[in-house]
Amino acid sequence: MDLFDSNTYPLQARFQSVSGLKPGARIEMSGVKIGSVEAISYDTERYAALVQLRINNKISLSEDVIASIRTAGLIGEKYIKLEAGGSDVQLKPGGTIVETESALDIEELISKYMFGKV
Amino acid sequence: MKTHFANRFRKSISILFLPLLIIAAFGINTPARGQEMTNAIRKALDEGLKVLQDPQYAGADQKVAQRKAMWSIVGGAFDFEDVSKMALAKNWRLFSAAEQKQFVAVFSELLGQTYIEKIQAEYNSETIAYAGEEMVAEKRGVVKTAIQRSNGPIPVDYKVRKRDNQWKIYDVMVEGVSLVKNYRTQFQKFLFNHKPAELIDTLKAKIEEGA
Repeated sequence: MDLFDSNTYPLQARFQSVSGLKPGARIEMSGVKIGSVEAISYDTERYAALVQLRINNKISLSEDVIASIRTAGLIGEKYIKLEAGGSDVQLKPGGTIVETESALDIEELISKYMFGKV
Repeated sequence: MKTHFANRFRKSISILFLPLLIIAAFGINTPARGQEMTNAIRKALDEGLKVLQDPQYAGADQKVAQRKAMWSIVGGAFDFEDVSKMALAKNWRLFSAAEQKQFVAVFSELLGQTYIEKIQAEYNSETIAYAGEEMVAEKRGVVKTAIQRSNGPIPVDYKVRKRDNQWKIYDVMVEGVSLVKNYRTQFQKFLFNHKPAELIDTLKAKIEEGA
């Protein structure tokens, strides 16, 4: 129960990395804002980032929705992009999005695939 | 006081490293308990790797035979209906029962062709390291592996789901990027203004192109 925001419901999602994602970041589906990031913490048991999301009440999401962390433009703000699934099972308030794609660390990838060879 | 502290420190360090040594000595190749998901897919992956290394397929004219042999082994670890459903998402319901069946057949063939050809072309005696597994929801888990390359490991995670008491792969994440997601985006775009039958034909044409 969130006393201040009755138009949204909570969900959570774990990502291997959220680097650059900030509380308040947009959550989009088909480019439309449908929610925002409420809080980000570190899950010490799963060694992953735990993100609390708030989603517009009118939007119901199936359990196989995929959440990806994306960058607006090349150097813009990080946001979460949701891609609708097809399952008949809907996520309940407080539920967890299991299918997630982490923030791509471009610098790490470049150094690994371009300069990594010794 | 100082030496006492140092001694205790040293002792705790050695205790910390003891489990690592045990893992290094026995852990890597022993299928341990609590590795149900890893064991379920490992046999197929390891056997696929053996076919890849088999000198019998070294000749250029043997590549198609090798690809087919590998796919018949590795493909068994996947649940292609699940992969197809995940990739088509809500569009799955636009397909008739017959189209769904056709789609699963052509999509799995295309996946096998595309990825195994890539692996064949790039393979340079890499091995697979198994890095643990984790339940992520009821009947869903992830098996973490890394392809050991000379210029650093490539993390590859297999998402698995338990159906009919068997763990099968429904998605592959390379460097954290999802295979299913890649196709879900493309299929969604295509089916926005094309019919399911057209998608099936397009995938068939892709297979022909590559064969």
